[in-house]
Amino acid sequence: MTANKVRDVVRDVLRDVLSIDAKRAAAFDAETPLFGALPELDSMAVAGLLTELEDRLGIIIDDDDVDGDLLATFGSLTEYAIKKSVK
Amino acid sequence: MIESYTWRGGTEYLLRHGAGSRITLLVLPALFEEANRMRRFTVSVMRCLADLGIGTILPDLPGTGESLTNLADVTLQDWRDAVSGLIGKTVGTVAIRGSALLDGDAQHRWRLAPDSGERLLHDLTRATAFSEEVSASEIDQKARMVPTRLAGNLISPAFYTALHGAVPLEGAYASPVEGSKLWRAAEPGDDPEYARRIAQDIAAWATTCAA
Repeated sequence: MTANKVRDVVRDVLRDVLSIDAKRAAAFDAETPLFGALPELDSMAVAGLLTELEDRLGIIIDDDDVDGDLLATFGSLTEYAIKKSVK
Repeated sequence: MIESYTWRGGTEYLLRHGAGSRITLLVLPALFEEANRMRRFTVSVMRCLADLGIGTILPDLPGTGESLTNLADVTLQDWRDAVSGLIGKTVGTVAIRGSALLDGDAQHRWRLAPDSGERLLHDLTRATAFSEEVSASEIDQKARMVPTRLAGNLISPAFYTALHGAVPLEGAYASPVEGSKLWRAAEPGDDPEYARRIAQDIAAWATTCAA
């Protein structure tokens, strides 16, 4: 899977899990803040988001990697997903 | 229609739609946080089934919904026993997500996106680890020793351990109908069109089971 494709999947998962409209999700860039900035993204939503990313990308997200830094921005989450998915 | 049922630990509420139908199905709710996310959708499916002439009952599992039982006092076997007591009055079970872990005693079993106990618990431990800023493995170890609150649910070590090792029994009908994964959505939602397609699939399956 290419880095761009992974970025699209992360965007799709955020849109589906947080029920945000496609236009808003399409405007996410690397600097867009996530945890703390999106009221829909509480800790239970974080868990659902990560599990859905694992399912769609076929990756395992190490629990020790899950913290506020990972979810800080669209860029931080996407870079992590790309690192895990693109070999 | 709100009714009640009894199990060896007490009395719980159940919701009935389509009373008086020739076929009645036992609908088993999604578990824990997913129960909240899926409640509206589940009831939508029940309403659609009533329109198709199929009756349904949806119980509060012991320790959930309006139950007077503390979830911390409940075990996986309690849930299975409560479900088993209701199976005899129905043609089969409709299990949403994790409740596929409870349908083993039913002769006919329809399932929507079943999952293992380990994966369900992983979501809860992950959410708890994230909000409490401790490691998920620490929470896992604690939950095996003492009653532990996982994403708002106080769960006993016996329940945690049993659930962790539980997988849905084979031989059920896995629905091929696809739609939005409402159980992963941050807010409770509904999808009337998906509910309709699901209900049609359940109705066709139930009619075959009852034949």
